[in-house]
Amino acid sequence: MGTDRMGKDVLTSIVIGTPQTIQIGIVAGGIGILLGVILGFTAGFFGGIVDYIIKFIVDVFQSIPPLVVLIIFAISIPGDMTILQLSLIVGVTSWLGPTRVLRSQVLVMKELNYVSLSRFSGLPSWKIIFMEILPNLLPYVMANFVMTVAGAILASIGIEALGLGAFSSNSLGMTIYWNIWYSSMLQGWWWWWSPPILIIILVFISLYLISQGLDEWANPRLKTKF
Amino acid sequence: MNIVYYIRRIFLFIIVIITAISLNFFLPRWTGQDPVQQKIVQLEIESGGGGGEKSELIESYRKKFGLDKSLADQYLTYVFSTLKLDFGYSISLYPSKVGDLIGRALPWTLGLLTVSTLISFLVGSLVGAYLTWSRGKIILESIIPILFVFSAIPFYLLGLVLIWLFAFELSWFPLFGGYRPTTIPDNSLKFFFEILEHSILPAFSIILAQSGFWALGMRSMMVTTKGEDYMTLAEAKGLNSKRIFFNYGVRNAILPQVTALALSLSHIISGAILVEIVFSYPGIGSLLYQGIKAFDYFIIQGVVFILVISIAFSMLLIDLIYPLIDPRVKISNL
Repeated sequence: MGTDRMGKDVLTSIVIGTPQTIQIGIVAGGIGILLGVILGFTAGFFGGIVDYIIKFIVDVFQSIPPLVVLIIFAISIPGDMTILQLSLIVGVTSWLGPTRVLRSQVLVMKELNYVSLSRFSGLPSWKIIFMEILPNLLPYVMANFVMTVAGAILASIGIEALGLGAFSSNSLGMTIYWNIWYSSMLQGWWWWWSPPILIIILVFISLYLISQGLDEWANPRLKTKF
Repeated sequence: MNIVYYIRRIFLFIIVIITAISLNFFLPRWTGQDPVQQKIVQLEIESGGGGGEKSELIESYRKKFGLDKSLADQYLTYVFSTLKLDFGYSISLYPSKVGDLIGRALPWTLGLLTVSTLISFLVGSLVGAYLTWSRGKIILESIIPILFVFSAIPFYLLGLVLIWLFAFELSWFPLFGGYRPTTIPDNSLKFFFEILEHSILPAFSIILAQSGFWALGMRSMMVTTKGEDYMTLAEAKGLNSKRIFFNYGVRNAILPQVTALALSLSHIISGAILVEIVFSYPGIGSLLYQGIKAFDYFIIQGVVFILVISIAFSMLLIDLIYPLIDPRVKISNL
């Protein structure tokens, strides 16, 4: 596959960089889904004023583009960023989607007969959440996790392409950053810029198919083609 | 309940702005960044290190940018000056004011974004509606996954491919910029066409990536609309299918898409920023990129604030107008 402007082998940097990108996505997605589960469950289950506050916070952050929050975070980190720091800041900004979806799912679950029953029989709330609601929502949480990972990968590539990424890493976003830096598409170095884009598209298609499969597992009636 | 909703919505808008300003102010300070010190060190390195009285230089800079006052003072000054759209001087492009730089870049971004978003909204919605209308054609059914892939690709990556294909390989379009570096901007028709020619590729990469998203949204809305009673009635009355499609189907299904527009606005704008960078288009995105490259703190903060306020304001506008255009929405359960 040839070498890039700095003389690095393109194939090698893709082979090393793709796992790094996916790792950023998984760590960030994990943080996002964890925050989402905590906030979404709290809001949906307890309702009332707690729900109102959490919903308001979600509304506020809905109006601030995640990329903007990421930029503020990234310029606040002194010195060079590491991959872990990048994953952390992306994770902290990707809790919106999961929180919204899980909140509405919990609201639906709460009204179901067996949950109401366990409530009337005097089970403590934490028990209801962990023994009744969480196990039944697990497939949704998983499917949501996959989509959050996809979003996190997208966000991390965006922030890296802006030149605010982890310069020590070889991740796909950094490869794209260097391509923009040297405007390689104006030099016709197609063998340098096409592999990262292709891999990103492939990663996305795979994540989409995985989340579709999880959705069908969660809800067998969904069996649609696309 | 009307008035309560409006008040809540405007209150939310104010909170959003304040949150953004505070994040913008406290996060960098919380991690102990000193932009002025960093800039001076950078200048030193670039000029080969003249030695000399650095501390005095730093002091004078700090006075100029008001970094020597207490934190509370700084914060209040910052909030009020930001609300007056006064972002201070740029460090790297001193003595230009950040506000002027943004003012010069803003029209480019607004033009590019408005036109390309409108086109993709209309084209995507029509394609999506048509997809539901003519069910069962294999060719059309197989478009959907392709649309999905296109809507998942970030705009700027598509932009990279388009530059290479149309500008480098085929030389149909200019390679970069908003107009030729050799022309002096004026009001002539020739210059207008030059701007147009330069904006086709960036706009096209936004349109291509966005249309898929709108088509998918419209498709699911149309499926819902198709099942409504008034559609059955329209068919039973024997109206021609073209009229049913536009006057009964599209008209009702396109309204909820407007809400989706409000929600995805931040996503669109983030993408457009990166598209500008890829195409060296002289808009807000490129300005931000320059700011990041030179670590020009004030440019970054100014651009970030402009982005936040414009997105928040557009969302407020859509939310306030929407109940007026779609009577089906009951404000009480929003």
